[in-house]
Amino acid sequence: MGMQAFLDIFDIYLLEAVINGILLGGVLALLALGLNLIFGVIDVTWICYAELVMIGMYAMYFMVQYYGVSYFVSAPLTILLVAVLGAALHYLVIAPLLTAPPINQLLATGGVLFVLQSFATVAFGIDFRNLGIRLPVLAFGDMNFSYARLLSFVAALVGMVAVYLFMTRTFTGTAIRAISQDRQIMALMGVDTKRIYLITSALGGALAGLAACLLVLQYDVHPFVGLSFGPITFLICVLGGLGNFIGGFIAAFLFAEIISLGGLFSDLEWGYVLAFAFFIVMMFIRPAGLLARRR
Amino acid sequence: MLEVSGLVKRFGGFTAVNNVSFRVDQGEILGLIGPNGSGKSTIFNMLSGTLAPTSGSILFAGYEIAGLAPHRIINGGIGRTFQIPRPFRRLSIFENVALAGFYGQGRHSRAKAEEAAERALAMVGLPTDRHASVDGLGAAGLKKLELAKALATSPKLLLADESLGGLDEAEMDQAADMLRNIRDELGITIIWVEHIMGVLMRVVDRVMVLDHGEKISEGLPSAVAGDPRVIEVYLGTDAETTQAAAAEARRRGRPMMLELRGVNAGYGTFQALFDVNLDVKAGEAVGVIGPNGAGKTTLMRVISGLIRPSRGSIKMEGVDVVATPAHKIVSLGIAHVPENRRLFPQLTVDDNLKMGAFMKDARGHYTERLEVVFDLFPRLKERRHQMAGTMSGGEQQMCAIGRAMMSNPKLLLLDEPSAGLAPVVVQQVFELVKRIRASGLTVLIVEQNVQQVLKVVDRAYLIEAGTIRASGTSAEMLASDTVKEAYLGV
Repeated sequence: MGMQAFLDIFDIYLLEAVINGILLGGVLALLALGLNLIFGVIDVTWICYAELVMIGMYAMYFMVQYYGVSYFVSAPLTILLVAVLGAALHYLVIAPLLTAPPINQLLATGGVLFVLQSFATVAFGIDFRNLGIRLPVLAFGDMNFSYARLLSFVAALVGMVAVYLFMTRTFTGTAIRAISQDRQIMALMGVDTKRIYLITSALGGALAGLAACLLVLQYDVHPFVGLSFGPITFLICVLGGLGNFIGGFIAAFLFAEIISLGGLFSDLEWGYVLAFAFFIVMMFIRPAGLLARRR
Repeated sequence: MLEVSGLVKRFGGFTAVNNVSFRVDQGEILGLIGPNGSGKSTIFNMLSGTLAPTSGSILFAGYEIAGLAPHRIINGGIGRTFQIPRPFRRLSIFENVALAGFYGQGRHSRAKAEEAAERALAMVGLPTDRHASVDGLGAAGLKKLELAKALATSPKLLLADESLGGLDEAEMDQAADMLRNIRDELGITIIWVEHIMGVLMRVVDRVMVLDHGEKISEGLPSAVAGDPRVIEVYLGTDAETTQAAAAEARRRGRPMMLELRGVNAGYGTFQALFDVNLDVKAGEAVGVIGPNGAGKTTLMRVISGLIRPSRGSIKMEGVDVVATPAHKIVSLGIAHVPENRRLFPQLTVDDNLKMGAFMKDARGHYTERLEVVFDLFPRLKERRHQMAGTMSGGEQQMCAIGRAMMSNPKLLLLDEPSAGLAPVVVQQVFELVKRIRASGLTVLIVEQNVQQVLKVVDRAYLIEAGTIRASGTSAEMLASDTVKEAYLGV
């Protein structure tokens, strides 16, 4: 690539890539928020988080494609379904293991990951499926933006603002923030910690559900679709500092920009390679995360 | 053998140890006592090298050791035990001690280390069997292991830090005898720090008393126990006797609020409370005093439901709450201000107070209660948007009490409200307690600071080694020999 070619793509395509990165960052931040919420409050890592998203995407697919339900009716139903799934995951798998060593909890949610993948393979087959909704591409000057990405970004932002208001304005939200700082004394405030855990898990599930509704607009569904954004979500959470909401938010956009800009100068895959390389370097510089969780 | 002169340790602007000098002669047992935060542990940490002194000198066998690294001091012949035993759980008892023997003696030889370990274990009465596991040891066993580890380093001087904490009475006597045997048989000089003075006074040759980082008394146990300054530090002198009459008047005819009968409680195999009976009547302020590790905090935790009693009954206004989970006990009107305040450090003052009003019934009155709390503690209103963890200790204590009061309780449990606060702030905290009393709230307060607490309560109980030893009005308690004995060992 000559110097001239480099300059040619520089201005307008760079801007396009930066904006696309921001749009991608919105959904990644949503996923990271859900995972961080669970980790920060319950001190458990849901390895199978992206698989909950996968189930949500299938739910969207079947409702919209198979039963002809409108997208905007299917979306709240899917969010509700995955929220229930999150609560069930906590009640059936995590709650009995709350006092177990962390490695057992990790293995158990890892087990759920394989169960969900295999379930989807058996039930739905390994075909790639999509909603069949083709949203237009917006042209803005010489730049092209996918309408789906724009919609996802806005919806993700609205979702995160809603969570923020819930966490800061309500008694239950305040309890969720408090419990991550001192779980032993919550009972002295009249707080039933089990109930708060269940609510938090449902909230984490709901965020996965929302992400599913948005991702299904851009990606095909298949049983292993979780692998395309599960690992990156974990990297984002670790980079931001596990359990740190703001750190996760910043890290999500940082990653999205690296992927998007990396993809600009080469293939999309190289964007991922760059992102992972960046992650490894950062782990040496700030092993506890960008904003290490203060205790 | 040990000559300490002009020892000073400052942490920032806070002087933890101020110009302390003392000497310890070969073969002596010196007791080091003083209330919480008086500088005992800081002195120990400087002697063992964990902390470097700000100034002053520590001559050990003629050599200056102030500021040397801990391992060099241990190799030089000063062994220490720790207040809270932390053995290597994966190693056997023998390996734990042999390891101390190997490194503690400057890594000479394995045979020598094992020989030392065997001797040390035999001395403290632990099994010399090489495979016995640490897991089987109870509180007393762990303290013995701690001692054996220190002995295996072949010390000439042994620093024993609170070797009695968490032990029952028989075990305490046994541990005290053991220290004496170590001196008599091995000729090891000992400095012994302890809260539980009764047992200590029997065993030591001399006592040194610290208060706020300064030496206030030193001498033979009998002389020190009679020293008016020491009595004042531990018991105070100026509780108003008029209070007693008023208290008695208040007591009569009030309905019973809290009633404990035959309560046993503990953690796992460790029993912390034995057959405790305790009453609190409506409108009363009752104190529970006693040395560290006597079971005071456990008592509070049992009442608020954080731990469940293994036996006995706890009634709140006639309702048995033994089987009620802690988060439901709050709605019966019991609010517990835990030890060390336990605020949510990264929530604002407002959010902390909000958590206090979490219960369904309390949420409806949130704004009214907030007014009440801000009225009582105007300081909190100024700081309402500040992170709780960034406030001063006294302000945090206000916030912790305020948080408990948000649930509109009938009974307030205060666990060591003065712990870890500077003397001036302690005064302020007890002023707060007085104000809360005046508002008509029933208060049960657990304190180590006898002098202060007896000024604000009507009645008090003395708890020692998990057992209620005495009870009476504040004036009676002040005059009580049992109380003096518990604190001063006379």
